Amino acid sequence: MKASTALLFVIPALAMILLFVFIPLIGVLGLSLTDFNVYALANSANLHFVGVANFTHLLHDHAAWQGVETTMTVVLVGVPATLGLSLVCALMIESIGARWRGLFRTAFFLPVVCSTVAVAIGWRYLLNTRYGLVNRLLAAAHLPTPNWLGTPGLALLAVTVVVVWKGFGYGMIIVAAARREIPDELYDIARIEGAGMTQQLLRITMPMLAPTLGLLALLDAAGYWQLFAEPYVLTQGGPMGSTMSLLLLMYDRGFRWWRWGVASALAMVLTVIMWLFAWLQRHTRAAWRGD
Amino acid sequence: MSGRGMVLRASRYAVLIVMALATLFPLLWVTSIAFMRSPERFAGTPPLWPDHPTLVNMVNIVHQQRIGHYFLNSLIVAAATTPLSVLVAGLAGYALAQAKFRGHRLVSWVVMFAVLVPNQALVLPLFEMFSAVHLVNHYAALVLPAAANAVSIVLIQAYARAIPKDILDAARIDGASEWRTFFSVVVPLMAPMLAAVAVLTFVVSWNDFMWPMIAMQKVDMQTLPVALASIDREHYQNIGLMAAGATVAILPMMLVFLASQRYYLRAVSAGSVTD
Repeated sequence: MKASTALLFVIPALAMILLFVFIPLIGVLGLSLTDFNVYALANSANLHFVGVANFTHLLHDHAAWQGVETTMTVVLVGVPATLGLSLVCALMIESIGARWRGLFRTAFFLPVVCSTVAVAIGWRYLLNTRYGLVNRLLAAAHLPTPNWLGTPGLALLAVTVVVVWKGFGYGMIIVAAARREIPDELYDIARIEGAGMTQQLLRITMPMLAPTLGLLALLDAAGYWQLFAEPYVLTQGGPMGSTMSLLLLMYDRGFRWWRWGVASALAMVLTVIMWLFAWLQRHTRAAWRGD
Repeated sequence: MSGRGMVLRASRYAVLIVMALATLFPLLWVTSIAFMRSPERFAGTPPLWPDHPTLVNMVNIVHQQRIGHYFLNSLIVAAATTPLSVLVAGLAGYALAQAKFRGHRLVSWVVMFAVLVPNQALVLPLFEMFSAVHLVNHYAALVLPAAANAVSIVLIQAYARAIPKDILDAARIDGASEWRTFFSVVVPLMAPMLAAVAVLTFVVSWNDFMWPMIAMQKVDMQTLPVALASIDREHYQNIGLMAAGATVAILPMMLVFLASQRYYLRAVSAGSVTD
């Protein structure tokens, strides 16, 4: 392939990425250093460079800290939960006959392809205090029936449950693919040596899956940091800001109050946190590979 | 088989069945409620199954809320985004995998870097850019940014590495141009991965929420999830109506997924082996 033709093949993608990823990213950084607001929108003479003032403002903004805390809680609780479910489902599906495997795989994967807005509407009715099925089941078991979406800690738990429910099927597919890569001979040898099921799981399956699980943890985290639609529909960030994720806060500051400087600073904070995670990803994967 | 083995097998199926039902339940229930006449009339929880199935909620969501209109918007956006995105990513992924050229490293770096940028954090400047060229409230505002998909490029590049050089050389010796080679030799060879990426792109485009909500300020231009969220703000008390709306958004993607599972799942698991 001639170099000039190869370049022609690459240029459309390159142009689109520069236009819709790089330039907006520079734009976010630029905006975050200005006081761009509704007045600047009307007349650009009202636009000023303010240095890191937006970032120092965020340092003293309770809502921003709460946004970081909320989002991080979803990541730190949601990622292990997602990973656990992905792993258990993948191993169980791979251990049964091929005839039924497809059926279960489809069932666990369906939430992944559904519109988040639509499923959040469904979940809100499931969790409703009056007619929700969740509380009815709890009542039948003589357990407390809390107001899930109206209580700060529980609302965040509910959002996390929906996020995990919608996400674990994706990881299940990836873990199942990795499980199929483990050679059967390893298990044959282990059986001959007298290793039981638990031994095989702990000594063969888990170590062999560890790199995949590590990668998956960081992929899931990258997605969960961008939490937006679930709290937007389920709780609108409430009660008392307890489910206000970083992106929901950015949207609120940017498109309700038109404080684009502050909103862009929040976007930069989110981006840097995600890069930190990407760096961690490279780092841990390199460690797993032993280099 | 030993008795213990049988018990183990049976319990494994039992656990899987319970988990599968629990996973599907929210989707099934919302679909079921969509066909109930005013589910609010029940003192407590609506039944699992409509006692007298009715289409009244569907009729209302279509006639009063014009869900068909938003459905069409979503369909237009997804149908325009998918071929554009697959073509752009296909050309780039193939060239990156099979050609050496000056700037190869730079382009690869740009693509990898783009994978690591949270798209949703870019909506403020994107809105400014599209306002400046008067494309806010146009389909192009949703189609163009979605066409720049770095993940698709990475997936296709990984797949295109496996294309044997001999086949490409044979086509060239026969006098085919690079473009001809791409469309008549490379595309058929990469068809499984291109199909997978196409399904992924279609589903993601259909379900996208934040940017479409910002870019489509005019009600008439809203996509299905955006319209659903705004109908929900007003009518969330009307369970039957909202369940019908959710069903209209969910069912098409379920059908797309069921019809194309093989390709879709391949794209997802390919994501695990890509560095």
